[in-house]
Amino acid sequence: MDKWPSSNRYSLKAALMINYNPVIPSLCLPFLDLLIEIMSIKEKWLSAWCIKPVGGALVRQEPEYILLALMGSPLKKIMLCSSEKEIFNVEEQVMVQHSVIINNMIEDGSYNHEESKIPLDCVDSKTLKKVIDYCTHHTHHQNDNQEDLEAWDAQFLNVDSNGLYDLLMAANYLEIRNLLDLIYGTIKNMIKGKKIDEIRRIFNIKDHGFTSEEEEQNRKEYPHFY
Amino acid sequence: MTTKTVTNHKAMLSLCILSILLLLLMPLTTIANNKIRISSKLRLPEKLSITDHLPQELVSNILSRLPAKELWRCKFVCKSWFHLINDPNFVTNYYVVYNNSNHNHSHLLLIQRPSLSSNKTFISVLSCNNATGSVSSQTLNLPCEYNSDHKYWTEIMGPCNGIYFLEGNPNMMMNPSLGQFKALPESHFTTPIGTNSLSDYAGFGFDSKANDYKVVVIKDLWNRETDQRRLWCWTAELFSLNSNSWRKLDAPLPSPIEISASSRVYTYENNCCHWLGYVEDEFGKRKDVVLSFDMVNEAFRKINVPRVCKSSIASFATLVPFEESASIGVVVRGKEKRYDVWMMKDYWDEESWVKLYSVGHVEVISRLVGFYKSNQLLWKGNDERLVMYERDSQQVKDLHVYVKNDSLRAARYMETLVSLQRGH
Repeated sequence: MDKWPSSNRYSLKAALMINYNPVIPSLCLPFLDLLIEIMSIKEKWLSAWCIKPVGGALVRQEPEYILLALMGSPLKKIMLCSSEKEIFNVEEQVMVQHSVIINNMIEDGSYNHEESKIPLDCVDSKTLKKVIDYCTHHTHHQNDNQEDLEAWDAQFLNVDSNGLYDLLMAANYLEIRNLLDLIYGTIKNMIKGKKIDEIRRIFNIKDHGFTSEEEEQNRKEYPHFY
Repeated sequence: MTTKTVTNHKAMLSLCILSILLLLLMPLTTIANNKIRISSKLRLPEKLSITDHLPQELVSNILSRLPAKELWRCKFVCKSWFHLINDPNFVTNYYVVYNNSNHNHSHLLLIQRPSLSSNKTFISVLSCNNATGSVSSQTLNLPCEYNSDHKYWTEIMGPCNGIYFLEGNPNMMMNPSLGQFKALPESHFTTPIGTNSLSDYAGFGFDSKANDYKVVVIKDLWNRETDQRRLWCWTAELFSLNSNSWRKLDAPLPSPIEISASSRVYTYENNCCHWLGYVEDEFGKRKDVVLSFDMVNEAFRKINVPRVCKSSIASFATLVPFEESASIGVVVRGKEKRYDVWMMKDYWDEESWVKLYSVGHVEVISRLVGFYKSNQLLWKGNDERLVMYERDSQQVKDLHVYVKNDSLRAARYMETLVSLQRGH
């Protein structure tokens, strides 16, 4: 039981049923379908026993994958291809749990595990690596307490502003809700409470676009803003 | 010969060195003018400004998460933000996005007249943490003295796109999230000769066609000599924010109608504001009606109400809005702390009143003092406290505010960028 990956929390009953059934001598991938037939585990049985992982919502529940996961087999991996044509291998479940786009791609069957890779032309390698890092950490540590997660998030976002904007655009493209909210919150806090000159400095707005008369007028009208 | 060649060589050498030096120096002289360009070639990519790097949609999403006062300041950071924040589409979108995004807190606008002897009124914003139940409030500093002198202590009119209207001395329109308070000018209209007016009923709303916020006031008429009320007679005036002036309304009220003086909750749907009232049929029997005023067409309309209560619903019923259905309803407070909620399924069909549900005995509620959302009503409780009662979960939230002697009204507080400064 200890060797089960912590990212898969499924009903104990199903696990016991499978683990202690003497019919299964060992894990044999090609015979898995046959195994399922022998044990007469209908799809609806397992989905009735298996609950969704905490914090996620997008994990597939086909019995093959559940059995695989429970028996500690290597998890299904998918390939993501950055704009610089660099390939990243990542657990399918990790990306499916966080990214709506990737989840949709896999669910409607357009993705073939053995051959194809998912091309992400909008995301460069450095950013993609960061995104994968975020998703993997949040899947594996989803039951950690709130403070630890927040501390990790704060340290994760400790990048320069270009990196932050790239992360935001990648999260927007991949539709990763919690990363988006996190970055929006961070940038919002960078603006909140600051005076205009400081905001311009932080966000590197060198040319504000107002004419000198307009700028002077604004400064006169609202001196406490600056 | 040799000296000549030597000097020639020397000259050529020095020429070469000079030309090389010149070539090297040339870019240096231009560096002063084009510092940035050169450094971007030699060093790491320059930090882009946020507006260059991110698409407009993402910048808009970021800005929609800031409170209104911060956004007012952000307008002056750069021209593109100025245009974005002033864009009416952004303002409308912001009103929806910002107010629906904060699920941790409930915000209320309160108006209190705590002392019996004076009209001194306090307006404050209350924040209640939904999880912990802790409450904090902040009294608003008004630029002018405002006192509510209304006899019947009716309601906070608003939020209408986040703008509120309060009857009183002076009549005031305000956007508390931007800190804008506008005292309405006095109306100089007089009642017809031989009459004067004692009571008035106000309505407030938004004219979407003219992009205007309007206040309508209906005044009753009394005969000056006989000191008798002219029943069923009214005069009406309209204030428009865009023109900053009052004008007399010729639109007649539909049939003889009386307006109930009971406490109200701001009911504004389909560009109309509403009052509860009654008419008398030929036998002198009272029939309850709803009077509505359409802000766009500036016309009155009467809506019949079915018999929802044994006696006249005037003292026990409050009109409430149903935003999701774009319709209105009535909360009838019955005996033993029960209340019924009726609604018009189809706003334009008088026959479509249905009883939505009844809420059985709720110990803490006593009198309806405000409206938060369709399923969350604000009540004055037994022990003179303000509570929020949510029907679905039957949860009662104590807001730690004392409501002695019916001295408080409350409404939902909404953050908005709509400015009362027209032409800004």
